Amino acid sequence: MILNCLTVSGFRNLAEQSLPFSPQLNIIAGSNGQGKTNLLEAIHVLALSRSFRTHQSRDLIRHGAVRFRVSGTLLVKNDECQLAVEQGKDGKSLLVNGSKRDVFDYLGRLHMATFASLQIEQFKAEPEYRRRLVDRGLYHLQPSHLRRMALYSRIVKQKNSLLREAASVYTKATAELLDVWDQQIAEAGAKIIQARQLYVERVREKLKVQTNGFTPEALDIKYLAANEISSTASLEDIQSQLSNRLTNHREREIRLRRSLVGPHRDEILAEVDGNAIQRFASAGQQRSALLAFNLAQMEVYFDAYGEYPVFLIDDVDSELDAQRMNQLLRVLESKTQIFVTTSKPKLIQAGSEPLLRQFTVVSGRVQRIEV
Amino acid sequence: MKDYAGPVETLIEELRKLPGIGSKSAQRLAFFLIRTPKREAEKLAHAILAAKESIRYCSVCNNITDVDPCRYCSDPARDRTVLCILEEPHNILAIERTREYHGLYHVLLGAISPLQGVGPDQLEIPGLMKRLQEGQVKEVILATNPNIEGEATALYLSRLIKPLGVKVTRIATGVPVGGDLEYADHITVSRALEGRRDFSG
Ligand SMILES: [Zn+2]
Repeated sequence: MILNCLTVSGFRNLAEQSLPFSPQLNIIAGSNGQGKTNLLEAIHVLALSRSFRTHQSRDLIRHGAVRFRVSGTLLVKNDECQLAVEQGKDGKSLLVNGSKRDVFDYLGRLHMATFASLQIEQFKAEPEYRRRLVDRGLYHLQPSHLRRMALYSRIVKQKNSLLREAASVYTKATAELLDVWDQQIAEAGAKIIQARQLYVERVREKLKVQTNGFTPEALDIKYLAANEISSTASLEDIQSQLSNRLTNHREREIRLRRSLVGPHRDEILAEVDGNAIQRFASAGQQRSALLAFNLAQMEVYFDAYGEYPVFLIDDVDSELDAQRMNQLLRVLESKTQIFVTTSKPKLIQAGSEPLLRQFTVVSGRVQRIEV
Repeated sequence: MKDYAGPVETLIEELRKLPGIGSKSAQRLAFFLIRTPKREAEKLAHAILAAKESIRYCSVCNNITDVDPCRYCSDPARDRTVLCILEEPHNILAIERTREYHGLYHVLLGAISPLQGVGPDQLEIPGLMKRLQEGQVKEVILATNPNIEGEATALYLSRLIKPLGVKVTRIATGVPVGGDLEYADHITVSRALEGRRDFSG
């Protein structure tokens, strides 16, 4: 998958411009505050319709502009596809080849892996982020997973709303209604758990065989579904285990006024030598673990599609020393298209036969420079 | 501050309350109405009032009707042993378009949704239970919308109805999940009716 060309207007501090990218390594250089991460963010918005830095897409509109537009030409196995995201004051439009699509139909066209300092912290500290990494990898393989997640999260919202009522008055009628939502949580939840289990198993397999120098010895990931559901359980089995757990937690859920059982609470653990990296690993090991996880996800993706997603790395030199950074770029550029931002472009060595393009960003204006 | 003369502004405001009408459409409609001959405007106003005054909910099934009971409830040719349960009166049309259903209807006037403060007490369930207790109905088809609120409503009703010894089925979800019966074409709806399955809540 290759992003051939990106056009931005009204986006952050970026000047209105079109950028022709290299199918391999794209280096985006610039001092801090000039807009190099904004360019990466624009690619992120094109892929996922939202930013990795803010939840408010309206904040991305350049000061004084009324809307932004990010569009790009995508090359998927020799087929060209035009994607565009437009955001005005009153809403967002997602377009594929010029026609409007809903979010379920838009996402999962430009497939992308990202690596940024912020994410190392999230990977370490936020169970929700680790679940999201798994879910994103999963919906790239099964687009229906996105709808499944949306449906499930609405069930949880409805149930939480009922739990808040139940905390003040708990009658037989409330209990019957909670049963109904619990049944839906168990049904929809079991499907999510099973899909995640299969996916995590595939990523684990890839982690075992990775020999790229970024996998700490004995790195393993584990999916803890409702604490104890076995990865070989059948769908019916998962569903009945969830149901039991829901029944057992009813009282606690009412007391805490929120839903405590289901895949929205599951844990994805990364461990080195059997110790959770969240608590026991050094910063370096945590960074390597996230990278290894990303690379393993890419391999799972490759097995399904025969090509790799594009790879975004923000501020590459802040996280990796020159040697490891170049080692990573060599691994990636043989497989896929890469976008890296850096304030020290001189540290990046050209590979053996790289199709390298370097851009510098000064006050939002991106210029291609010959190297 | 008002942009237009008082009566025009009021007309725009009233039109804007209609479903699917934004400010621009409301303005366009208002200016269209102002240009139409007075007689035409009177016809429209009269039609709205007449509909409002003569249309009511059927006292048996909650369909909207001008005669009570409605024409489905009073039609002797319809099968009184099957009852199709729907969320809204307009859902009846989706089922009727298939021409394959000949039973009776019961409209709940909503679906369970805690987020919107709608529980079983806000739905037309007592009337439904009364009809079922009369003993004529042998099968209930739960045709609430195939989204999570419709599913919750179906599950809840199925638990309520099963103990009465009535067969409970749910229309197959050939209708896209998260969808609305209203927007499904009639082939999809008739497949959904055909493929209805025993429902265990
Ligand atoms: Zn009626």
